[in-house]
Amino acid sequence: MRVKEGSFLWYLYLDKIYCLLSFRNVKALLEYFQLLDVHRKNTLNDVLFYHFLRYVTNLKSKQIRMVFDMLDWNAVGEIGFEEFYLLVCILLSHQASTNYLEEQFMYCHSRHVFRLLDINGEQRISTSNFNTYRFLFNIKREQLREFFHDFNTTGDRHLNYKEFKIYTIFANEKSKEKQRMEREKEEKRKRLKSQLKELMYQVGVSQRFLKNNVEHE
Amino acid sequence: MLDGGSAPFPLMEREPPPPRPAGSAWVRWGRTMEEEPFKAPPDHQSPGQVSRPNGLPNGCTRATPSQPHLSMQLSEVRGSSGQEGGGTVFEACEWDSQRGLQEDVDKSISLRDKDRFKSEDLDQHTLLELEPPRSRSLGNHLVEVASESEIRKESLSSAWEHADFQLYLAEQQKKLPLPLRELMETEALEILTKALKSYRSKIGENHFLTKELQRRVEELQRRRRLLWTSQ
Repeated sequence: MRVKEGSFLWYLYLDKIYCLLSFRNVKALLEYFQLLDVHRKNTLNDVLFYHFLRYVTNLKSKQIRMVFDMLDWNAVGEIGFEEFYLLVCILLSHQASTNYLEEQFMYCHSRHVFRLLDINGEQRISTSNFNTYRFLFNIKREQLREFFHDFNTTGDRHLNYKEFKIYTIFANEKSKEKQRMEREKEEKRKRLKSQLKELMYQVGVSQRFLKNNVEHE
Repeated sequence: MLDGGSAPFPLMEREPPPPRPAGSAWVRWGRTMEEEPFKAPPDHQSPGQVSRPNGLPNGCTRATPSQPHLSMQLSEVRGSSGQEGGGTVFEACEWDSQRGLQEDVDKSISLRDKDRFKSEDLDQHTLLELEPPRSRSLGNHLVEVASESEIRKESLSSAWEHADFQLYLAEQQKKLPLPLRELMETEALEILTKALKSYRSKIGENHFLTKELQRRVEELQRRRRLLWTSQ
């Protein structure tokens, strides 16, 4: 799932530590929401929501309907600004420019994410539900399998909040470690490149020097 | 939201991270506006302006409106704030700061009037001075007074420009940047046009919701057309 480049949401910026929008960004988002709220109810119905997500993301119709059902937690057929804001933060956490903050987002807002994924209201998340909505947080199937294997301490194939929280901590640490290693790799590559350039330059200089000497002789 | 009671998503403002190079002239509005809200142009000091080590008052731009239009701007600011009704805390704070600035400007106006009066008195003094000076101390005193009034005039004019600029800043910070607003409206128009087609196919053209949406779409289209023709 990714936000369409050049769209309005693409220009918003998610804070890296708290994974939230700044006050100014929220103000802009509120104006955008009010433009879409044609019926002046401070809500978006399913049709408006569908066309909005279809325009700004690459989600399929089925996924959009699932997201709407998930956010419409009280089943009124409409999404308010708070749910809209939460969704926008989830979408922005996928941005490459913010270094993929999905794990950080889940860690910072574990309670809200847990409530979103707890579709049945049982205070626990089943494997099937998590599997259905894993596209929201860019979690791969193998990772999910590993996760249930490592963190489902009760063994009932359902996650309670504590297990979920521990998972978010570990996932966040793992993601940070991965990013750190990638950064170090990139720096090493740049250093090697600059050293190679330096070497080539010196070789060039010495060749010119030798050539000049030969010509003089 | 989800539990119907607490505010789950507290709006917290942090210092933004260091800026990345922008691919286009205007990228990541939220970040650029927060980190570098107003880029300073190259140094250009106007006479009488208070200068700082970086050559700018409070590190801001020098794009100040001309003084004769100040009263019009103040009324516009007052009028626009009044119309909006100051519904949000943000707007109320802005209005308070503008009112404070207005009081400062009024004070500066009254001070300027007093100064003019003093300068008129001075002129009389200078007329008297055309007679041969009686003592050097009187002449020196008059020179000091003259220079003091000049300095006061300069500081008043710089205070005037500063107040001008503060009003302009306050006005700009209230609004979204125009390119962002245009992008928002263009995008909303496209989304709503597609939604209108869905409404027509699902609930029919005569339904009140369809008509409401159609009115909104037409309003947005009219606004876009006005913008294009004005450009």
